[in-house]
Amino acid sequence: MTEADIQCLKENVDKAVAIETTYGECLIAKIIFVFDQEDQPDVFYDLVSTNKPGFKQGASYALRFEDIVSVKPTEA
Amino acid sequence: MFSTACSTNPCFLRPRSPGKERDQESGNDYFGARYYGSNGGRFLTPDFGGMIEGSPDPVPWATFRNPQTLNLYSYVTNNPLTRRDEDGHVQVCGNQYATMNGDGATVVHANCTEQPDSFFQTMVTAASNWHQNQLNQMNGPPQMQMDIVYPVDLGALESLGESIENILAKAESTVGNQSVRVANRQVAEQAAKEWVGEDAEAIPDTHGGKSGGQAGMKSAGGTKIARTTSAATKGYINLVNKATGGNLHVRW
Repeated sequence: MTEADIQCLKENVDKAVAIETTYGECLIAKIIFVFDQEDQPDVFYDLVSTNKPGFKQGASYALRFEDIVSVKPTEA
Repeated sequence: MFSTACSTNPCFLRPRSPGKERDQESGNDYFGARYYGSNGGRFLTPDFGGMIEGSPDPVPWATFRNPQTLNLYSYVTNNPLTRRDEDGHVQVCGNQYATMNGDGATVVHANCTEQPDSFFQTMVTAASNWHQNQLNQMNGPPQMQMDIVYPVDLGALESLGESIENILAKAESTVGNQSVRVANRQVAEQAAKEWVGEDAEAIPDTHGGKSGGQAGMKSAGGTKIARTTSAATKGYINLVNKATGGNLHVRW
């Protein structure tokens, strides 16, 4: 995860982004809040869609920065 | 000069009241360990215990309980009316005094009120050992130590830090990152519950692709978030106010 990815998360709070994780999940998430101040930074999001079973669409989850490979905005 | 007059005046050539010998040429009094400069009113050398062979403490007579003893040149801690010096060291109280032997151990000759710290430590240790021996004789040696769990009084804990009421008020008005301190984790968790409300939605941690422990919770409207951590040793909880963009770190 790069600084640009972190910046992308911050700029898209309350918006949807595409996130790729280290364990192969590609998900569309609506960002709730980005916690990047502490020793274990993570992001809270509402799950829009995912390619991995076991997660409930519309529910909220937390994802650690260390598990994120890349972040891309879904809106121009 | 006053000092010259004093050293040549016959009335000052008599032995001092402790009976120490005075050098007629220099006017200094010989106290055994050190010379006392009668003209200057102080010893000529500091009261170093290190001058005694084998002494483990360089300044055994100095103690923070009596700052006067930190002046290593003074005569009987500047209190000659009630104290006197036997051998060039300051530990003399009236007719009672303590000295150090050749091995560096303190030898108390009487009940002096200003003995070195090591003497008091020895006395405390001896008293503690005696007390434990008495207990062992009555009850036998200690078998096991039991953990005692006390009921937690949240009201009492709050008094050690910010109250929950104050935390919630700050979370309402916080803009950006701020921090408050509470007594312990229980107070922080109680504040988090009250912050998000009773109908809060739990937010699980997806670390490693598995939905694990609870990472936080959000209010029904989604404007209030509390972020906890799975590790019990973490020292903070975040209270987020999305209306203001505030992130209040509640630490313990």
